[in-house]
Amino acid sequence: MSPAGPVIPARPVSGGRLRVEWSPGSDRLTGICHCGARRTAEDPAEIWTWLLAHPGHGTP
Amino acid sequence: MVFARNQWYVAAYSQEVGDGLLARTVCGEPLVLYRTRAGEAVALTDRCVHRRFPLSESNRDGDDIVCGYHGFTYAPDGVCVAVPGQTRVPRTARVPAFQIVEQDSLVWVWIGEGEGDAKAIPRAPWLDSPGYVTVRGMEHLDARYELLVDNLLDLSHETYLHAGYIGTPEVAQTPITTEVDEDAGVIYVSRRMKDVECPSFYRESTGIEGRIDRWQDIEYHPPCLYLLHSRIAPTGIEPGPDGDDPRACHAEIVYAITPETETTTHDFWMVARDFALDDEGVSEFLAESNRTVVLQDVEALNTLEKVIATEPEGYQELSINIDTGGLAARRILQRQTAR
Repeated sequence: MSPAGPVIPARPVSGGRLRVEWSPGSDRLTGICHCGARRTAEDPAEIWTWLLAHPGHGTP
Repeated sequence: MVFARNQWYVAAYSQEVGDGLLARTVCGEPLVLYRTRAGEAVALTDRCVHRRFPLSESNRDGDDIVCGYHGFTYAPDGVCVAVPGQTRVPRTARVPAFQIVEQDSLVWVWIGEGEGDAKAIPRAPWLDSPGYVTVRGMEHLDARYELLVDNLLDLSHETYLHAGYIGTPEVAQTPITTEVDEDAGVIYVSRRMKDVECPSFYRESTGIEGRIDRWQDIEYHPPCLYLLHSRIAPTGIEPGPDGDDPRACHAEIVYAITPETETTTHDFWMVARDFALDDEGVSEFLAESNRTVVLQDVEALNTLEKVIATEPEGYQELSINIDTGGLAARRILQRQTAR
C-alpha cells in the first residue's frame, strides 16, 4: 500500500522549536533547527542529539 | 527518584470530589480528597498522624475529618483540632495539606516543594466549554506511566492494536512531523491524512459519509496532560484562512497521565466534541468505543509491565523512526524528574 499523501507541515518552525520530519517508507529523518540548520539521519536518537547541540551542530 | 514531583498532576475529575472522602495516590503520595461546604476542594495526606489510619476510611464532621480509629480530628488545612481524652493537642499533630487548583473540570494537585505556579498548569478548555460535550472515564493501569506516554506519543500503534475501532492502515503510513518547544517543554506530533478511510469511531459519531481528511495533532505537556486535536472532514474541505472550520468535526481527546506508584498509573481519558451536541446516542457510542480502545491499551501495557518486571537488568530497547516523539518526551520527563 502506498503512503496516504504528501506531508502537510502543521506549523512553521517558530521560536525555539526543533522539528523532525519523517515519511513512512523512507528511512530518513530530517531534523530542522530553529536556526535553520538541517540534517538528515536514520536514527531518531541521533537526530535529537544533533538538534540539541545547537548552536554547535557541526558539519551537516 | 522516579517521579517528577515538582509538577502539577490531575488527582481527580471535579465531579468525583464531593461530600465523600476520596482516596487517591499520586506519585506515591496517598491523598484524601473532599469538598468543603463552601465548595473548595481539599487534599490531605491520607494517613492519621497517630496510627496511620486512612482518613479516607474515616468520617466527616462538617468541614473536618474525624479519624475512624481514635477520633483525631483534622481541619481542611491539615491541622489537628481535637484528640481523644485530652484537651491539649500536640503541636506537631497535623497532616500535610496539598495545593489544589480546579480548572477545566480537572482537580490539579501540587505535591512538590513550596508553592506551585498555578499559571503553569496546561489548559484543556473544551472540557467545560458550552460549545463541546465531553464523555470521560478513568482506568487503572498496572503499568508505569512512561509506558502510557510511549503509547500515546506514537499513534501508529492504532493500526495494529486498535484495528476496526480508530485504527486504519493510513495511520501507520502517513508522514509525521514532530516538534519540541524546548523552552516551554511541549512536544507536538502531527499527522495529517488526506483522502483516507473513515474509522467506525468517527463514521458512526460524525455521520460523515465517504472518504475523509483526518488530522491528528498531538500536544503533550509533560508529565501529565496529553491533548490530541482530532479533525475529521469530508476530503478536500479545508479550514478557512481565519481558522473558521464549520464543515469539519473536531474531537479533543484528552488524557491525564498521573503516576500512582512506580509501576501503576491513573489513566484519565476524555473525549470532547463539537458535533452532535444534543445526541445522547453519540455520547454513549463515543464513551463506549473510547473505553474499549483505552482498555485495549491497558491490556497491552499491563502485559508490558509484567515483561519488564521479569527481564534482566540492562535490557536494551530498539527505537526507530516512529519513536521520534516518544524519545523527545522521555528526554523532557528525565529533565523534569531530575529537578
